[in-house]
Amino acid sequence: MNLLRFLMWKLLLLLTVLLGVTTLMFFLTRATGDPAVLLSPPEAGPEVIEATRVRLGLDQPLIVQYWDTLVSTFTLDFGTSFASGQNVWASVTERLGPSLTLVIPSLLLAALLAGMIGTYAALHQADARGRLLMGAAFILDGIPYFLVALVLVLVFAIQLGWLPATGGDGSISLVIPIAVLTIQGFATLSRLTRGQLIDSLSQGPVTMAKSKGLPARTVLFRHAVPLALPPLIAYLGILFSFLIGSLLILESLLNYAGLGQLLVRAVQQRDFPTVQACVLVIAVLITVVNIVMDTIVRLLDPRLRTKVA
Amino acid sequence: MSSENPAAPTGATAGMPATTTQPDPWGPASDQARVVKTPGRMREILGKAWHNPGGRFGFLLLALLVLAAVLAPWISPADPTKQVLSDTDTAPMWLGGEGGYLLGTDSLGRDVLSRVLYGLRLSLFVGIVAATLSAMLGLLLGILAGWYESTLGKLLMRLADIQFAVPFVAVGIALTAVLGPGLTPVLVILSVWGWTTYARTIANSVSQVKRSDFVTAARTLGASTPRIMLRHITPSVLAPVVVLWSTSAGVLILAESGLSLLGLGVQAPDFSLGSMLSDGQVALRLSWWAVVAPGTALLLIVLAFNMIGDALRDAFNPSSALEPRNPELV
Repeated sequence: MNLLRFLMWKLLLLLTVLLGVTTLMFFLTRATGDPAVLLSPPEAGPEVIEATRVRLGLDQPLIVQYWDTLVSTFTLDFGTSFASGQNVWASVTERLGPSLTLVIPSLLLAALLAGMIGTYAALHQADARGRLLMGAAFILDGIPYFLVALVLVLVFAIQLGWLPATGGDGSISLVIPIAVLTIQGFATLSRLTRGQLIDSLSQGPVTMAKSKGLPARTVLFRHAVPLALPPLIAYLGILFSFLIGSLLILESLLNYAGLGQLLVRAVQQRDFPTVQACVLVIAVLITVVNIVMDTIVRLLDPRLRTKVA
Repeated sequence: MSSENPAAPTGATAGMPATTTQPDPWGPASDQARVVKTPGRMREILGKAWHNPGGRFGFLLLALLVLAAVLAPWISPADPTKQVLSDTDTAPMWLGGEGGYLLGTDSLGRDVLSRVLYGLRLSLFVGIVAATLSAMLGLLLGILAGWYESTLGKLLMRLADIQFAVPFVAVGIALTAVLGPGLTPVLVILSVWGWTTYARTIANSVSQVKRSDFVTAARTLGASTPRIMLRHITPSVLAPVVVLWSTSAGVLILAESGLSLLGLGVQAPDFSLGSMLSDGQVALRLSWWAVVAPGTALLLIVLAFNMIGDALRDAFNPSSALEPRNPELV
């Protein structure tokens, strides 16, 4: 019952995000210029712009236009791209797969690595090895991801010739972007894991388990880790949005045919319908992933179940 | 608040709000506000952060970088825009490059060291200005959201939820589709998009502070709502703003660099560290130093801000070391 209510709230949030992003894009285009110019091909003359205005109903009152925009968003009808002539929605969803192929493995790898390293550092917080690991994570956390990408290209593609520098087909082209995103995610996450675990190791249930004389392994995995886990899972949702942000730039840098490259190309070609659809898809994706993470946290953490949402 | 207030008479009870330790408790409200000028809490936090080794290193590193940026016209070995076409892609002198270039030259024969020094200016400028503007916006909206908790507060927090779903970079890229590429749109979007982290934190503090005794006292003495917000609430929620400011500056500088890297940010002839990366990555094969040098400068900036931010956060609230740095600024 509670969970159902929770999910209803989250669904409402998703609708708010859809509505909010659409509204934002709508008013942004109206406030900063003539949408008829924006929604016409870049080289269009005045009569083409006028035709666009009539065709898209931009000569109608603002409120009618706004309603039409909402309807087209919720029916996923974004028109055709000026650049490719393709259906915008089809071309955006086509790029979604390749982008997720990068983000999801990176997120999982980062979580796995951060879990191991963070736990090790938490258990060895006083000695040199634990400190060294966290120092390394701190510096790694500061390295700009695009610099990591460029250095990896330099070393592994240009100097050693092991990997293709940009583009390329097959799974080998995934190595550099996944490595970059994993490094970026893992640095923050391992610091966080260490902090959470150190915190939970000093909490009541863990002290209780220790004083009962349970073996260290049982104390750690049965008592300390479950206490530390929920905020970390919730953070994975935030990290997901972080990685998507990086991916938008990374894909163009590494010439990888995903959502980010599509968005940047669309901006360069002033292909506004595609820009709109891309931003909307990104927003929905991030919201859905965060809802999933929040739901997992809720299912895992019995303390949250007793409270009414 | 267990901080020592230097203005308090000796023997004042620890934990008492600073406003109650007035020499003349019966004076008019305006006099009282004037007496409490000591930024006790803030100075304490800055002091603690300075005494933290990481924090001190961060402060010194940042001071060095700012100094290098300010002094760029005097310490640069060459004109950063001058192209010496006979010296293109020259390796740094310590790698055996000719011509005595400390960090080599790029593919147009420009001195990389001079460009890094000048590039620092714009990068630091963007980060500091955008962080300050978003802090001010966040402070304002956060105080309003915390004060009018059930109406405006709820609305603003829903707005923050929506904004959270759209990463910085996505809005930045989308906005350049409308406004065209350039420094101004990037600066605007970075300043506007950053308010949410501040507002959320501040709204929480304000909703607690507004119920405290000194606010009731000010109200009883006839202070108006804007006056209470400005003179009583703002000083008490300022510390987290400073912490967030320093952690967000690094993130914002990276965001600008990312957009400039795609050619959507700073436009030539101006350049930032990010647009240097953009120029350099084309000729990565021939002159890797033209990418690694500005990249390292960016790394140093981010490290300095992160170190300061972590030290300030630890000083401000020792138990908050567990919280992620800037979850919403992505």
